[in-house]
Amino acid sequence: MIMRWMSLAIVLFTAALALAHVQLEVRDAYVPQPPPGQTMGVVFMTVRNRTSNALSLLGVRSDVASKCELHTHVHADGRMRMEAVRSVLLPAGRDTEFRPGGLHVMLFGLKRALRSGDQVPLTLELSDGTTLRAVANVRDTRR
Amino acid sequence: MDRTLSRRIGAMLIALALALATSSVVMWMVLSRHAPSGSASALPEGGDFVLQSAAGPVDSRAFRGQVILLYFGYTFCPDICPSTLSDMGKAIRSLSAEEQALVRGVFVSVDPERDSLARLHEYAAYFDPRITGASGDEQELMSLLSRYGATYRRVPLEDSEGYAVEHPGSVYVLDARGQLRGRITHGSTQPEWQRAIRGALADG
Repeated sequence: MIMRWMSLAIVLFTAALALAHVQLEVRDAYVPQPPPGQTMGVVFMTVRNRTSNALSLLGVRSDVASKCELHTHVHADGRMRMEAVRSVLLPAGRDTEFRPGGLHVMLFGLKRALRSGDQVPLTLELSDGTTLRAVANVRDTRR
Repeated sequence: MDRTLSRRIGAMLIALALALATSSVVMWMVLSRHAPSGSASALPEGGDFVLQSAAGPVDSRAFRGQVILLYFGYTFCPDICPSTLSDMGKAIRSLSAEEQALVRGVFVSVDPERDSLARLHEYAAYFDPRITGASGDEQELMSLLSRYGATYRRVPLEDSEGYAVEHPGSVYVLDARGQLRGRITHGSTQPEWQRAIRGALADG
């Protein structure tokens, strides 16, 4: 009987921990498979802020790259260029999209070749001092 | 009463004008996005080019009878260039075998300092073997881009090592006679790519 209660308590505790993380959710994170010889990569993803407070993404870490940066694209006079940004606002209750032509996470100095099917661990650093772990799948975007 | 009525009519007129303005802006955006590739009047002169590739000179006149998809970028470009070239490769492979034989891509590096011809070849061929990587010197590139109504320039990256290159976001579609027929903007769907390519095939 005691065992049953204890296991129930453990289940509830784990669920509560999981819920704390569900407040911020990373979906569809992927890295387009970099062409051969490419020493950089890029992460696209959707970040949903389920809390009622705006948060900011201050940075991303990944052990596959020597440096990660938050970037966006600037469109001007038919030209496009990327630009580093200090942080990305994650509005309360909304999805923030990192996608081609817009926001993205740059992976500079890839430490190994990334192949379709590989998984790239990410750690997101947030303005409330917490971090969130996520995994991006390497995808061959030619298909 | 009269006053309220005229105010109401005034408000209605303003609302109507706003609605008209909004809808015409939307219409214009929709139309300009889906404009057929042959709206020649708005297009720059374009024209032939001779550049260098790992396999020797690339002369656009040698591709008469084929549609050329011309794109300016650089291999250090992390996002726009790979996604555009992925889309280009996919679009080419989605065509019939006969059509595929009549289409080729030319990826022109506007970063010849960092992009060697060997690197360009490896990079372009990754997306599709029918895409040729080419480049030239700064003067050649500047004059070529200006004929296509475009420019490029280096932009130092604040935090990162090195620099980025600001480059045109669109792919230029040349028909079988080497005439510029249209542009494919970044983010175009596969049906939009196919329509633009087939339109140029039909024109030539």
